[in-house]
Amino acid sequence: MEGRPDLDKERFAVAALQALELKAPLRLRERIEAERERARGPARRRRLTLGGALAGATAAAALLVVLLLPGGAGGPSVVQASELATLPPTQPAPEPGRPKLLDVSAFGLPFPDWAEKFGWEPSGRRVDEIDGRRAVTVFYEKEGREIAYTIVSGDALPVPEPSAAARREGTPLRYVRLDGRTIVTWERGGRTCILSGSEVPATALLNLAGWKGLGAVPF
Amino acid sequence: MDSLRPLDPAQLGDHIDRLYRAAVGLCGSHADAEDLVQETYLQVLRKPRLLRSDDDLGYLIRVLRNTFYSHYRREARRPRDSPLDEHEELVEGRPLAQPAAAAEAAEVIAAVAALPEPFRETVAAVDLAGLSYKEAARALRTREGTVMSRLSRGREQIAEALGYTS
Repeated sequence: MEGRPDLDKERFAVAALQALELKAPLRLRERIEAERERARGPARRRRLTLGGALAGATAAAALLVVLLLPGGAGGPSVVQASELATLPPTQPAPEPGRPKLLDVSAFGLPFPDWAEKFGWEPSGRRVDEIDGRRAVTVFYEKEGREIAYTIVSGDALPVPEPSAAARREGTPLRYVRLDGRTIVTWERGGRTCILSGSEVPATALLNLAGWKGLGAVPF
Repeated sequence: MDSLRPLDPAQLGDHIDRLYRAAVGLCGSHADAEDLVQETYLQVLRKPRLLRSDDDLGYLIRVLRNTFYSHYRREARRPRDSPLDEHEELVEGRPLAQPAAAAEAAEVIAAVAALPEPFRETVAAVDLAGLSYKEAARALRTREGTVMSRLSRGREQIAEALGYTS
């Protein structure tokens, strides 16, 4: 019986691939086992609770909160909301949705998909209530670094003062450095958006914050 | 709707061989593949992970792929011949019996590594790591139909590189 030439060709390749006897070397197994042991070690940063993390962050940054950020009755301060970035995701990573967007949105605002353009992959998300406001946070990862993008419900929160001003793709942005983290804040559709991360240059965060994906990301 | 569950680090070791196979295909080099798999595990172990489904391997392949593109792409663009003694380490305690078999394996790996990236990552995910089309589509952030067409074209190019004649 004669098969289709292209199928025969495929079968030939599959047979060659299946014949490969590739097993991870012992030294690699040992290295990974050592990493697993290390990962089981003492307390990780991610095991914080919301209350604990916010309390800790508030203590650490108390002076700056006083100086920068009157939260008041209108909701949390930007810095307080940015502390959600230090908590663990409670839901899996969002999937790609429409082009340049993830399949998750908050208060009508879809989160951007930065994977293709910038290499930042979504890694998880969480939803919180903080000072009477709902906040949705999506975490992104790249080369072992993590950043978090939070959108807060309700009216825009007061801009941190003092803070530096920048503009990307026509969008005004403000940013501050706090405890080794850079916090960028701006508005989309009247909501406060916050992007923060450590070990990531402010310029990179500003570029991400202002990226509109040629109009695909609504502002 | 898929249920949520944490990724269990204790189970991650179960996938190491399949990840390694995919890594060799992506990198075209055993040394780079080892580093890539280790870096993948480091990334995953860095913090607790939540998954939607039971697709641990698919998740790991996605991280492997992302890590490859971040760290190893430049090197992997140049397929390299692997020396036979490197292949003799592949099967622990059971070196490849025939030098000819090792040479053939090196040819197959080189053929995979020479594929354009979309074909290469698809062949690595399906034919080397053993993902289904659906799992591969999810891991590679594309559609099942795209996986099937890329797989077909990748396999054809491998066959041609290996000297297939009808």
